[in-house]
Amino acid sequence: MSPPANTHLAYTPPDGGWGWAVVFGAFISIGFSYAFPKAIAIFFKEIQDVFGTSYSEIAWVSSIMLATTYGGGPISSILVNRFGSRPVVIFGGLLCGIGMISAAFCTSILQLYICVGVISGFGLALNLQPSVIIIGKYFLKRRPIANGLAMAGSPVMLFTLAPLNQFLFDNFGWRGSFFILGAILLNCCVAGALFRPIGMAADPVRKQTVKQAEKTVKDGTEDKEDKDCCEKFNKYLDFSLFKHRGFLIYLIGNVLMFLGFFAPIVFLAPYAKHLGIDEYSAAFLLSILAIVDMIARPTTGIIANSKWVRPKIQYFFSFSIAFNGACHLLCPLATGYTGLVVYSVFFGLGFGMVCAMLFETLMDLVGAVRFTSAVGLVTIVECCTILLGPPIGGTLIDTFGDYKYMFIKCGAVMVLAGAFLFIMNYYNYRMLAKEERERIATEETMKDNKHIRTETEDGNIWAKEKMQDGPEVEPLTDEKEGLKKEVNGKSEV
Amino acid sequence: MNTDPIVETSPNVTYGLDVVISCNISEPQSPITGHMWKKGDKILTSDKEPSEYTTYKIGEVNGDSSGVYECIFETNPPVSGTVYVTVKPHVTAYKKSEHGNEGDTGVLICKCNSYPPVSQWTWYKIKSDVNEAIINGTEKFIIKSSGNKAELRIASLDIEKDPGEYICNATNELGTSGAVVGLRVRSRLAALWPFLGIVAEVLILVTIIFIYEKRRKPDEVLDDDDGGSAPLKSNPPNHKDKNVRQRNAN
Repeated sequence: MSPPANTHLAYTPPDGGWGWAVVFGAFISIGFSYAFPKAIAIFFKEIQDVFGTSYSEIAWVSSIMLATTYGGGPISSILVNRFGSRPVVIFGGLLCGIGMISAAFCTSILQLYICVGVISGFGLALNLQPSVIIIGKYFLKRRPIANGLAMAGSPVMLFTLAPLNQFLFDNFGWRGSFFILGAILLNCCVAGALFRPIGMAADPVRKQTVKQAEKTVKDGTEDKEDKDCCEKFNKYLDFSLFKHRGFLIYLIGNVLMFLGFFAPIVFLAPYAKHLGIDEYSAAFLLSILAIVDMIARPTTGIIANSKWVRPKIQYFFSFSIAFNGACHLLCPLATGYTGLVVYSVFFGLGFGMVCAMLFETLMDLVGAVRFTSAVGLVTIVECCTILLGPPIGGTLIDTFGDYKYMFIKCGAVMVLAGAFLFIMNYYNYRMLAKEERERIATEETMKDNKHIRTETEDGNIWAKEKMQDGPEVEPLTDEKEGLKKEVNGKSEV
Repeated sequence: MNTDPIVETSPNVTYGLDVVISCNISEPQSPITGHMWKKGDKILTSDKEPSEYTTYKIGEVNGDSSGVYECIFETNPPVSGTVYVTVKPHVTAYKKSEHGNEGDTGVLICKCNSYPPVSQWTWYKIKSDVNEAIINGTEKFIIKSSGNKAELRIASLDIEKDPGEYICNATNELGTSGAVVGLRVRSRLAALWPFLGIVAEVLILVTIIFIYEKRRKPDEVLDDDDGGSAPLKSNPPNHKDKNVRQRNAN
């Protein structure tokens, strides 16, 4: 029998059952969100000819799409906090579909920016965040596995979409392809339909009781009325997270990491061609990367879920970032095709490891309830570095005429980020252990005082707790305690 | 005394399977330290022989091997001669079969990299009785030709009249030849059927998922009544999980 596992979620996540259907839906949603901006690059050459634009103008379509997907994070978080995951994802799927369908009728590059970049990009933002959030609501003990499986959607989708797009383009031209892709994106609505609401938001009875409790609270405590607009806004998007130590560590580490994360992928094929390798073999390197990535993500999830790694999952995360960095630093040593294949394999491995744990570690640090706001805030900050990474790499390549400085820069940045996260999380774990000891001590004293309380007061306290959806007192320590208890072998289910 | 050296070259060729071109220098002014053969800007061969005679094997005379060949004797100063390998135009289509969308502009492209360069391009549409010449400058057809590349742009593709085969003819001093480019026009509605199919699939799946969920609901409605007394017991009212443990509201 499991102890009260996740106190601030107020229910025990099923860790299975319908959760696996949710994982499948998240697989689809996340897959589209990450793979789609990259996959439409196949149409660019043709569109370039039709509209008579330069390559960089066309590449903006992908960049705008990526920027909107990440920049729309906070809005996504607010909407999920308010409405729950399911309506947001379904609406997001509709937006994506509408965006691509209208893109099929565009007559200028500017209209393409809006239809594909902004509308579809925003639709994908409304897909990405809720999918990650709802995994946290359905899983706790098996959450790393669920995260790993869901994030595996990205390489699988990319692997599927790339040839599919080529096929569509050959048979229907770019307009017909966009039209059909609009319909394919509507499948995100199917994924959204799978996101059955769970927990607090879904309960009509609780809403009733909350209303009753609210009335009693209003009569009782009047200082609650002093809730200014900041506090109300905090209920939708939790800005107090910026005071959360774990959140800040994660944010700084990740922002640093993303500076060197995507550039090597963008430049892998050009680097191979630069070394004299033919186009098809260069493209094959990316396929190798994708295949290794596909396998690495669920595997990492399983490893991260094991009882040795889970309590110290932040260390595993920092290790995988540093591993990635080391790969890039060693890449300039690879001069032949075999060397590059080896590099691609290790790069795919590292990339998959980092991606699988990207959101899991954030959930681990801030807890499932605050994760909704956390993921929105993190993505909008990361948005800038993600967009800056490849152009900086490109400038390095153009200035020095040599790819190795780009790899060295990416490798150095990631090793630095990994080291930073490792050290800061060591510090964080120690502080958490200390706070935990203090919390247990205060709980002991409070338990003595509890017997005095009456039943009506109980109702008030319960209602108060339920209303405070946003800022919570030390959710992390509760979760850590719960996890440690499970990890110590007292769990089943 | 100071007569300029004369370079004799083998005659210009227009055909042959095992062609060898050569240069012969008479009365070189200074010792010959080597030879070099160039085609345009590209160096083909070079050697350090002192002979007054140098050859280069072309092999088959065709579009690729045609061009301006230069033999250079490395004297001081260097002396060269030129051999012209000329052919009728060797025309290829960028893509044997082009696709265009109904209403859009279709572009057919032919290129010719042989020597001598093309002086004139003409386009024809292949018809059953006689090929129809395409006239440049109308609203429908625009021909852009530039030496070794020619482009035929067909505006507002009509799915009835425009599909078919087109010939691009290139003419130079030696004659004319061309290549065939096919044009296929995709119907506007071609993409519609897969689109409708996928939308139907999405609607069906979403309906199935929601119906499945509604059918499960009756179990949960009963639990709701039980949970009605939950707040007073400080029990988290998540009725779906019967194995939820009671916890204190703190």
